[in-house]
Amino acid sequence: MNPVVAFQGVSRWYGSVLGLANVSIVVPDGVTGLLGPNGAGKSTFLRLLTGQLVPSSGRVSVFGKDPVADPSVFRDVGYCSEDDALFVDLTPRETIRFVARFHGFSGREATERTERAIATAGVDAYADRSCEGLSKGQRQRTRLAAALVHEPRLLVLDEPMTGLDPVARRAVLDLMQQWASAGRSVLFSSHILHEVEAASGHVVMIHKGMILAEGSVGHLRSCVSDAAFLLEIAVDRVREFGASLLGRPHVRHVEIVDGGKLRVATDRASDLMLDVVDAATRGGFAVDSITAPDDNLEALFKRLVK
Amino acid sequence: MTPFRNTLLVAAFTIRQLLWRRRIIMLLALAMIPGFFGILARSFARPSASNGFVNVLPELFVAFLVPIVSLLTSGNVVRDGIDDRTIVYPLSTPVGRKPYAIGCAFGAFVVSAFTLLVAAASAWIGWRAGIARGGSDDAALMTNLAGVSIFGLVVYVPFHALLGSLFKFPTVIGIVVYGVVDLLLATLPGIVRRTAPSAYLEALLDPAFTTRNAATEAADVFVAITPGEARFVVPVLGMLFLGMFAMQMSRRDLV
Repeated sequence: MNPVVAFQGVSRWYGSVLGLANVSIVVPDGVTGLLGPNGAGKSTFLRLLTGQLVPSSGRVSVFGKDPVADPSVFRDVGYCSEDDALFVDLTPRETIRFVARFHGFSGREATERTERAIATAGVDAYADRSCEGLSKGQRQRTRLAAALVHEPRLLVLDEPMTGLDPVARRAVLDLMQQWASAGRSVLFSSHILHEVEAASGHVVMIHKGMILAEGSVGHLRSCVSDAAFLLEIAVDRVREFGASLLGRPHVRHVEIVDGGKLRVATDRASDLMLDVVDAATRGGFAVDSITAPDDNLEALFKRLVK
Repeated sequence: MTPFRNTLLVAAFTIRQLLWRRRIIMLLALAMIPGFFGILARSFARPSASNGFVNVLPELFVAFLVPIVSLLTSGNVVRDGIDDRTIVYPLSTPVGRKPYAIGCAFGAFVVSAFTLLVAAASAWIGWRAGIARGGSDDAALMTNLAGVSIFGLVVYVPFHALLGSLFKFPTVIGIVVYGVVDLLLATLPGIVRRTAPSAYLEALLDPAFTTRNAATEAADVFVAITPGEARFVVPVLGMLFLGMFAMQMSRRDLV
């Protein structure tokens, strides 16, 4: 079976500027988050896979087809761009219906699908107003409805939550998860770490046009396990507890930080946890909490970029 | 979906977009210019076969309205979508780039042809409507003028659409090309006239019209363009430009 998206040695130049550098990756089913700072190459990646850009070298395939040469692939792909682009002369209902017609549905079926997409994306309240007067969030939902009107197997969303209020962000996250739970795939980009962490099981980290890492958050964390990992321990008799940890093989560094917590740097977090339990048991220390301040994508991203 | 059906879908969408945009007001204003001149001619002279108004019409249509109307419709037919990024909507569907390009050109052709028909009707109404015998002789002349003008769109529409796919400001470039080709080269006698599409259109006009082509023929400087040559060159050039436009659209980045 063909992978959802496959890039083979894909590079893309904008004049003398490199947008994407020799990228080879296979994107699996489910929700995949494309994570990177602004200018990292996320939009270039998504535009290449939706056939808007032609690769300078390499091969892009979506469900085994070239998106530039074979437009039939768009029966299975819905795309919502990051650009705030809508036909200002049309209403959301007209826009979505036109897109449905372009997908080859008859007039009647296009109308039915339009109504379904309007309901799914929550566009009902302003479906017959001119797109010109819609708010940013309403325009975003309209674009989203247009992207899913043909119920594609892969939904490609470029920065879908940018500019949305928290309620609308939640709605988009829910929609992505519903879409994936129905056995379809979602590939979305974001520069906001917690959005990607909250929405996706699979993360692709991109920076300066290169794929830094990919996999689940846990897998990515294990990829950098040889780097120092921080634990913060809230414990009584903090100095004594710190002294008891010093000298253990996996402890690199111990310090007391704000709030009287003990911060321990280790190269093997799982072994350090055993050391902490052992030291607390032997010394009779009362441990209130153990937290890992860098066990998130932000810290991971910083490590990978370094 | 067949490419033909996709082309028709895109053409229908293009027609709707062109008719709904503010540009249609400008097109209608242009279409009223011949009628306005007709009213002026009628106010100052009795309509007759020798009326100078008839001799104004060839230049007004084939050397002005046809290129300008076509530029306004087809020059921006894909450029607007590229600039405001709405081109992503049709091209993120199975429509395909070549049917999209051809559909856009066809839609622009229909709107331009409609505008030129209105222009020919306005000329006839402004000049001859309501007079004795209803100006039926001139109706045949107007039909010829409208037909030749619409035939001219076969070459101008794909050419201007191609400009729109290549350049950021196709209207500016189109006006420069218009100035050089249709206003300068087409007025020169001899071989250089053959670079101007409007010169070929003149060769197809009714002999009752006084044209630049007729003037060249009279001067006997070089061989004038014949109607047969014009009937061959115009569609061939049109197909060439349409092919280049479709190829350009199928290869270029969309954003």
